[in-house]
Amino acid sequence: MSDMKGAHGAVPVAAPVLQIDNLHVEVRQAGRVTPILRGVTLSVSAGRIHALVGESGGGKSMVAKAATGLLPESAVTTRGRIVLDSQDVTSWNERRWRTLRGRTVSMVLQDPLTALNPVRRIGAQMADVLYLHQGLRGAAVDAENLRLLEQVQMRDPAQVLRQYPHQLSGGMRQRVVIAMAWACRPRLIICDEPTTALDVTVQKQVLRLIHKLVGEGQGVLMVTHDLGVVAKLCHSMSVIHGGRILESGSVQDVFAQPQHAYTRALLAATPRFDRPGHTLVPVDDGLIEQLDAEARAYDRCQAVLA
Amino acid sequence: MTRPMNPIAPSPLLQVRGLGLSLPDIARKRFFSAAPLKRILRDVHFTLESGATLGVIGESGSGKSTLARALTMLMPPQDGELLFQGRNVRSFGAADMVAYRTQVQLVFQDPMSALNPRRRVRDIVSQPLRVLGQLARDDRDGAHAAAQLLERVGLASQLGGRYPHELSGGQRQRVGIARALALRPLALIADEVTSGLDVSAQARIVALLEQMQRDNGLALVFISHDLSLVRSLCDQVLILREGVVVEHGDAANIFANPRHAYTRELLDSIPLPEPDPGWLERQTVA
Repeated sequence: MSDMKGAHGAVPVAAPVLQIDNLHVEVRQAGRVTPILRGVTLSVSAGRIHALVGESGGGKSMVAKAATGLLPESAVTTRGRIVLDSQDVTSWNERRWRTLRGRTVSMVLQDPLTALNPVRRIGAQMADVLYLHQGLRGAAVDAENLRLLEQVQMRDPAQVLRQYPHQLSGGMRQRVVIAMAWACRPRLIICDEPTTALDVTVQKQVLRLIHKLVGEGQGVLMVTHDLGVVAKLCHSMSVIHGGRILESGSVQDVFAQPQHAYTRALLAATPRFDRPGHTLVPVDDGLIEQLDAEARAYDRCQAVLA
Repeated sequence: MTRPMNPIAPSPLLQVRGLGLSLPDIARKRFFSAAPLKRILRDVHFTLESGATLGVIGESGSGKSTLARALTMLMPPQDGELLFQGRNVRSFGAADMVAYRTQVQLVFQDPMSALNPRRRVRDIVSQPLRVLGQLARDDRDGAHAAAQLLERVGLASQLGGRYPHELSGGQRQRVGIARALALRPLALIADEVTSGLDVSAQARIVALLEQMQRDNGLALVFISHDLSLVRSLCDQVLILREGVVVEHGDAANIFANPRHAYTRELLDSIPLPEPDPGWLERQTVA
């Protein structure tokens, strides 16, 4: 189902940098158990961008958190495994995760203003990353900071290093965050809605940047609700709802022949300026009810099997 | 100003002529002196007929939210004319201004900050009627009016008993719209009302606005950064950049033959949901 050839040329596929198998996560809070991921399986290969698509509450951010060891305390992994760069990290504790974050896996979040410290200069924040993960200090940091900002095509990088986050535009801030995420050349980068807060013209530049940086061999898990971003940037995709992967495949195949009714519904609800007669069709309530019923039936089967 | 001479040929609902607005620029303020003014809107012209839909497109900082506030006189413009049914809104007294604001209602981008978190949905929705003393005599608490309004925006009347945080984002935005409809306005100014929503919730809001426009002849100023959404909803389009209108006219026309380079750039920047591996590489960097 999830063959990686197609759209972007037949590049030989290396071992995945992220492999999630049959992952079950539930939240236990105030005596109540709520399943949030129900057997999620996906993989991200080096040099490839895999999209995780769905609406809010579908579990896509939970997958991103699980893959960076940032699940909340109340979340318990009951089954399945997460393999990151050939290491089984499923039951790792916070101390071990810290050895991976930044070096093996890093994250780009939706809102760069909350990802950056408002009272510290950009240069100092980038220096932290370089010191923590690479032990760089002094002049070496300055040189590397400049190189990283040039790599993300920042105009006037020397000036930006002396500035505070609020002095930069949204697009510039997101470039800084991307520069920091790529700083240690991690194997996997998780982008959680990285362009949702940006204007279209700026979004295009940031997408171009991610496209270019992936050429250096990282794998990217792109968490998004925007099917346009998926179509133009990503190689393969998974559609998630109710913590279940409903459909996976190459971007070309899924868009050409969406197998699941929910995928078709998402496409029909996406506005398109190039089709004047295209009326937006909201996702059908009956379909959502059916999906929820399936999820509950799935939970009952799991309870019997356990 | 003056009332229209001939009442048989009605004036357009809203006419905006040479509208300009400046705000103090705090970033350039110096000690012991007033902050210098910065132009936010410059020479904006358009006409909104009753029942028409105008899409205002702009990126962040283009002045589109300021335009929404200027049109509702929350931020009174300093230059130009704003005519409501031919009468100059800038010279309205208090009573005329209340009447104007009941007719031209604003729906805000973020319902979480626009709805009082400590009040129940039915009280929020019926508040405009309560303030203006328009609740029916047998409906002192506004429960009946609220139920009707919620029904109009496709929400179950039981939701009236809830607080805003107990609703989904799409439901909250519909509460905001229900409140704006309470006083039976002639026009809605919708400022980025779908930007925080999922595509399906967004499609529902668009369908609701379309229905309001069709059934009640409501005029709509739909402010958005999403060109595709504007295309599916609006007959007229106005494109703002740094407070200046770069293009204005018939939506079908502008989307088919954008004349201004900036409009073309906006259209070219939209990633359409159609796989195209070479798309990003073909894009020129500004």
